Amino acid sequence: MKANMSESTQVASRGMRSPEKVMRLSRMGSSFQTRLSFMRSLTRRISKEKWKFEKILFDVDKDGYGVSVYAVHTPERTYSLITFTNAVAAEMRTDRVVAEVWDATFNLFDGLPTEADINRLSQNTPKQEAGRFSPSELVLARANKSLRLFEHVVSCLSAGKQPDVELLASVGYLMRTTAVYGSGKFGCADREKISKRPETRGAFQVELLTVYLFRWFTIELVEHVAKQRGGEKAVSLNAEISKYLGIGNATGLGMAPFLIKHPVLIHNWVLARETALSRVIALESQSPETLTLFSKYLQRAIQHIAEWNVEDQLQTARILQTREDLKLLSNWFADEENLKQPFLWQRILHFAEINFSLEGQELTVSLLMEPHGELVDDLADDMQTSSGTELEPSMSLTQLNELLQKSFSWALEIDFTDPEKQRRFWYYSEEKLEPRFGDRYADPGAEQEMPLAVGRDVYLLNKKLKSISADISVGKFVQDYPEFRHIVRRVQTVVRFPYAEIRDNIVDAEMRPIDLLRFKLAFFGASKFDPKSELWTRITLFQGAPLPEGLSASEAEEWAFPVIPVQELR
Amino acid sequence: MKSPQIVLSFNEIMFFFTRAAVGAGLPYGLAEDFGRSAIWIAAGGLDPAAISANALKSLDEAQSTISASQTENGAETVLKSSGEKQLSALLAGPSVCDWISARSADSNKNQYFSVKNVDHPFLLAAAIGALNSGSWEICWQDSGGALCTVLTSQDGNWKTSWDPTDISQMSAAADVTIKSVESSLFKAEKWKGKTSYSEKNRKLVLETGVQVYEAWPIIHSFFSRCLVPSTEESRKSGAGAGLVDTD
Repeated sequence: MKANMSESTQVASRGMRSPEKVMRLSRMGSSFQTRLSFMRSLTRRISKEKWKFEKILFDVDKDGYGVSVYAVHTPERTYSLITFTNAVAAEMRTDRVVAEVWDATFNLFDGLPTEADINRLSQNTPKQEAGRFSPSELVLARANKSLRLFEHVVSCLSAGKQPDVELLASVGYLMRTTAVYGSGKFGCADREKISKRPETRGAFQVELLTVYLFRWFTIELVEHVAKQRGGEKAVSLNAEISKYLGIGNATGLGMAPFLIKHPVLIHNWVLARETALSRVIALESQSPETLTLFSKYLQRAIQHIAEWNVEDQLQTARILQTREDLKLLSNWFADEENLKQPFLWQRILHFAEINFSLEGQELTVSLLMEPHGELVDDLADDMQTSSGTELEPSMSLTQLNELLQKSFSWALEIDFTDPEKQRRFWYYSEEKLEPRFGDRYADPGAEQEMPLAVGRDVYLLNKKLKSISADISVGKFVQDYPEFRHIVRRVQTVVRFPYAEIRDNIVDAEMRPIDLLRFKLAFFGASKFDPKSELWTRITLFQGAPLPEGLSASEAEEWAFPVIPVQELR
Repeated sequence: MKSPQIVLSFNEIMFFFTRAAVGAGLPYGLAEDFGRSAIWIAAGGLDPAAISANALKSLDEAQSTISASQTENGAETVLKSSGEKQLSALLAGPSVCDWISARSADSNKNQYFSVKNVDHPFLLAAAIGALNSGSWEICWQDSGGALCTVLTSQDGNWKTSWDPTDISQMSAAADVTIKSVESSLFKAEKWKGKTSYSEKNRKLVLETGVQVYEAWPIIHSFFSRCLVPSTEESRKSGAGAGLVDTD
């Protein structure tokens, strides 16, 4: 499925949305989770394969500080979450990468750890980036408490009461991760080690398994502290409340370069989603069951969006518009005349594209896929790749030029002589290698710019090609002008992957990194995007997902668009 | 037995070595190729820093150059420095790989590639090994006049004609020839019993990490040139995530 489509026109002819439409930052920044999102495919697999969960160690004191090991046994292997919790002074708290202490630090360990492994990690994991790890560790991460919610839940449970659901809903999580590192970071295992294992070959599966296990841990931790405080008076969290608690996440710029650096992977993600949508809208008729399911998810989405409140003014306006869009969709769907005609799903998409905001349209795409698991879930297996970019040195410059004109017109139309079109630049700070987004004309360091400005580099390549003879090969060209080697290699590769390239200028003065973050986080399966600036957002992961003991087949399917637990709990 | 300065993953090798090459003055595209070569060396169980640090130094100190000219003379393609300096292996390696990639199935099997006065010949072999396209014999004379040969094969295995624990000491520039094992000039029998590196090494290294010894500070020093010093202003205006956590 992946490499055979060479042109956008072929994509369009299959009834799929075009890259020109889908790969724009404004739409990418309006993305929602779908049933192909990586959290959803993980919980489906856990349920289908009946993974077993086991608490191996819980050596934690009355305040919740200590070490614990939670394991999951898959059909072929065991993975363990090793967590260290400790007290953190108020003045040391920050979401930033540059923080040095956290409430919880943890690893996903490949197998069951020995005492020596735990001792080794106790000297490294709490230090995070300053520690060193081995290929036994698949993931390194850390998290901080939502202080007000954690303490509130402890207080309530220790007094024999359930927490205030409204307060709980306003936060959504007990703890919030501030970094989840995998793929060989800080000495951890390379992706190559696990990329052929069936349970971990999918994109970001070990990272999300870590978060899923950690969510389980946070609920057990809060109950433990409450029990220690309240003794026999203490109660456990209501199961529905537990299920509604996710894991928070603060995501900054670290995710943005990833999307530029892995174009083939991004193509595969988007191609899977767009293929799924095209399969759904190609259905001429619909079963009563899918109609019922669509209606159910539509109503749940309406409530979910109604419960989504943020401080950011722009996002608030977008949420308000999406609520209006969903009202329109609900009214349209309630009209039986609309349901009698063929190609219902295609007409719903068409209605959304004509009438809705971008967020409304993308939410509709998610809703359309929701009742069609049997039709689309297989596509989740194709959302990874081992392919990188490759140079084709035998190609002539004439051919290269044709590729540029055909596939990069979006870049060639940008006037990069306008200083505002390249005001921004991406760089690594020497402070913990934190990625930052600078102003080329005000900040130091533009000469250390990361090579992420694809549009600008294509523009410069095009300019160079116009100035030299076309009568030579690409191999000769990049030998004479090695500064173009990386962009030529990229151009030659991505023309075979139409969804690979973000068709916008990511160094424009008006560029909003938050759009990149939301796109990636939606593919993870995140919800409740809560932008804190144009550079970072908070989100919730696994909110509404079943806990290990509740992960039956039906529950695994049922957790899209989580809503506040039932009325009697409020 | 000495301890490594650091144990790295392949991903870290790619990250640090690519940027170290940029820090030494290499354009990013060539630096990516260098990163891939470093992984190939590491996958063989060797220390990529020890083997490649001098190539970066040589480029940084302008003892070698990435300015080259390439000509064809019958079956021979010749790559040489455009001036008096040694030719950097960091340009020569990718150039040879491009020549290999551009060959078609019906290309003359006896065509071969000569690189003149290349600063670190083994890095050509590393580039070709990382390309993993066909089987090639890479040959040069060391400073003592001994013939050094590397044989790379499509399956990821490779052999050397000498004990490669000495590779980091092999710093003399040399003329290098690269020929296909399908060439009539190739003699298979001379490779019997030679030191062999199996693709299995890669799996082992994935389980243990890449041990990097005393040349690591050199790599890290070049890498650090790609970083931008942090300021209070850049922390406030250019970094993601919040300065405080309140939720």
